Order: sequence, then structure tokens, then C-alpha cells
Amino acid sequence: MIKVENKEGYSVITLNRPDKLNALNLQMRTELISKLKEINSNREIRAVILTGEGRAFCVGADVNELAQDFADDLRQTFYPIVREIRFSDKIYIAAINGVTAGACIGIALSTDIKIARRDVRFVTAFQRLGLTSDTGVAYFLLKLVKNQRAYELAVLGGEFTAEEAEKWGLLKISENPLQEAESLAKKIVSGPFQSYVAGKKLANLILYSDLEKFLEYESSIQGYLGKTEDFKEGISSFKEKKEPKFKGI
Amino acid sequence: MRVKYIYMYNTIQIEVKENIGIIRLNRPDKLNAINLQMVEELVKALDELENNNDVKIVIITGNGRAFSAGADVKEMLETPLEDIMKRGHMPLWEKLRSFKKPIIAALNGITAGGGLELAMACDIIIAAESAKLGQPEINLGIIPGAGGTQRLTRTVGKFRAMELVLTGKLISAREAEAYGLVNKVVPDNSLLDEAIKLAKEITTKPAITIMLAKEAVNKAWDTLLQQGLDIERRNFYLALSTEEAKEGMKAFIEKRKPRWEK
Repeated sequence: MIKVENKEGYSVITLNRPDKLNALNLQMRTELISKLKEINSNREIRAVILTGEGRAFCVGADVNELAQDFADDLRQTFYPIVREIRFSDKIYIAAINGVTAGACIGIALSTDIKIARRDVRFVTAFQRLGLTSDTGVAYFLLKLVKNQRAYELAVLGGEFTAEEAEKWGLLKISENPLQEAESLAKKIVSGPFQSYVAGKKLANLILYSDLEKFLEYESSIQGYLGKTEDFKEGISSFKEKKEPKFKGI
Repeated sequence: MRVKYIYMYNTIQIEVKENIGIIRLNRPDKLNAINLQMVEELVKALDELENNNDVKIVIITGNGRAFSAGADVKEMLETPLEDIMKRGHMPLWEKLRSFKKPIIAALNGITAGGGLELAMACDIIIAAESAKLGQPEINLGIIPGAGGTQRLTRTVGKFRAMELVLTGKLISAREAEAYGLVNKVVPDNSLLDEAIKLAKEITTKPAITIMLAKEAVNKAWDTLLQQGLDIERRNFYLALSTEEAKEGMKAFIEKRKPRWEK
């Protein structure tokens, strides 16, 4: 479910479960983590492109295979993905080819360079299920975008478009994200790579030094929300395609 | 094997599940003020948990909006000094000092005076983010009497401890975290879950080794460095001699997970 192509100095990772819009089930997360680790320890690789097969980039956790305990699940199978991307000595590029939802927004935003097609929609989805955003979605969004709209998205949920995100400076738009990502990757490979890695480390210190603490807290609070009545209502109404009736307690 | 017992006490509740003993202070209408009966029951409960071989670790938390607001002031005022000196709360502090299994204090709310002293007599402290901590004794014309000037000072340093003890003010869980007075702060609703997760992680470790490690760390507080190092080395030799260590080291070399008895 994860395809890896190693090219000259860079890798392309493709989330490859197109019939499920690349929804991340447990097996896929485990595979992704091990591929990321493999690539991160490969000295020949300098840039990594993350993209999706088919019409979606990735729509988040697979709601048909949700874990019992969200806190444990986030800590064991989602955060390692974010960490491998964020704290590796490679430059990660997200080539966002289609709809991106839930946890995958966090994964996309954890990369160094984000390139999306103009028609891409980002769907936060969590609040619709009676949860709050996880996998760093609120964190990366509010670290990178300082406006009321981003704040609302983090708190109340909802959707945003690639066009909006471009205006905020969150990503750049391309008619062919993968192609643009590859030409950028080639530049990185032939450039002063150590300078780029140093730059990433500086950015991590400026922006993300509290990431671990945030994730600890986020998983804890999501762990609680996953045990509420509202979540049960959220998930069952979602599967039955009905309007949820939340109690708010 | 999943073991679950529920004992009935008046001022506390205890429960054992999956190698974890959970004690809940249960005088919520009195903010879990520690009275003589609670002292007696806590000692009894700790005895039971110490003797229960299924239990590897203990969590202490409070029911209601306080962990514990401290000693029962009314009772303290009405008890003759001679009786307080003869007995008082000492059995609890002695019991905690000699208790061999690790104890996690899970602070669910107000943790003041004797409540904070109780937390500091434990081994790990997790706080709900709305918890408030302090030593407000000075507001009653008294001072802390069970670690509130000693364990607190050794933990947060003289100047912060002095401010807390002289002003009697309560600090937030986040401030306490910054002081190094609590291990971590968690969302209110997740407190017990997080305490249990941490406890579970520790219960995967070998039982005898856990006790030797706890004792060695605590000796850092009770001794000068050279004595502490001597005790540590002795416990290290003891640990080396256990079956748990043989299995643990063998598993490490064979690149597999150790199989320790639960």
C-alpha cells in the first residue's frame, strides 16, 4: 500500500490505496513508518516526495478500522510518521494531488515544502465525528498561519481550499504538483545540501521545539474524546450518512 | 490474569486491576482532608497492596474536586498536642517512606498542605491541568509539618519553596511543571487514563528490579553522594543476581523481548 521509487538522490513515496482514497489503515501506517525509517537512514537520498495515487492525496485514518484507544494509537502509529518527516535530515516535499482530510492534513503540513493542485480541498473532518483535530493538524496550521480563519478551522473544523491556503502562504499551487516536486527535488539533490538541512534544523528550532509536548497533550485529549457519547454518535451517523445529534457533554 | 477486588473503606476506596492498585481519597465534601481515620485506612490499604503479589505499582488520586486540601483542620484543632505528637499522621508518612512499590500521585484538583506533602511522598506526580498546588499552612498560623518545607525545597529549590511557604499561595499545574514539581500535566478528563498508561508501562518491567530501582533513587534524597553511590552499587549487585536480570540480559543479547513473570 506504500510504493517507493528511489531515483537519483531522491525518493518518491506514493500512498497507494486509491480505491479507499488512500485512507490510512493500520497496515498502511506501519508500512509508511518503516519505509520512512528506511529512507531516512539511506545516505544516498536527500529529498523525499510524498504523494497519493489516484484522485486523493490521503483522507486520514480509515474510519472502518478505528483503534480502541486513540491516545495509544496516535502515539504508536501516527506520530512516528510526523516525527520521521519533521526531524529527519532529508527535505520532504508534499505533492498534494487531491483531497486531503483528517490526519493526512497534519502529515502534509509536517513536510518542508507543500505543493498542491488548485482544486484540492482540505477537510478537517474531526469535529464532524465528535473529536478534535489530531496528528498535529491544529499545531501546524496555527504555527504556520496566523489568521482568524485558520484559528476557526482548528477549533470548529471545516474545509479549506488550496487556493485559500496559497493566499495564507501555507503552500504553493501547481497544475502538476508531482512534476514540480520532482524538479525541486533535483535542485535540492544538486545543491548545497548541508545548507538546506541546516536550514531545516533552524526552522525546527524556531517553529517546532514544542512539538513533542503538544503531541503528548493532543493524544491525551483525543483519547478522552474517543470515549465520549458524542464520538459514538459522530461515527455512527457518519457511517450511516445521517445528520449527527450531538449532546455536547 | 485480570484480578479485580474492591474493598470497602470509609474515607478511601481501593481497587486492584491488572497489577495496578488504585487508591481514591474519598471525602469529597471535605476536599479529601486527611483525618486520623483516613491515615489509618491509608496505612491499612498500603499494607494490603504491599502484600498483594498481583500489585506492582500503586496510583493515589482523589474523588471530587480535590486531590486533598490537607490535614483535617477541625480535627487538628480539637486534638490535644500530646496525642498529635504521640500518633497523629506519622504512621502514614512512615508507611509511605518504607513502601517498596512505586506510587504515582494523580492530582485531580486542589493539592494543598498535607495533600501536597502526600503527593511529594509518592514517586511520580501527574497533574490534571486544573490542579492547584501549594503549602497554605501559614494562612492558619502554622507551617507545613510533613515535608512541605523539606521535600518541597529539595525539589523546587530554596527560593521558590520559600515563596510558596511564606505566602501560602497556590500555583497552577503548569507552573508546578515548570518548577519540576510534577512530572507532567495532562487534560483533566484524561488524568486517570494517563496515570494508568504510565503505571502499565512500569508493570511491564520486572517486579524485584522495580523495587531495587525505586529504593536507589530515593536514597539520593536521604544520603550524601558517597553513601548513595554505595547503596546504588549494592542494589545493582542485587539486581544482577536476580533471575529477572539473567533473563533480561540474555534476551538483549538474543535480540528478543524478555519473558518476565507477570
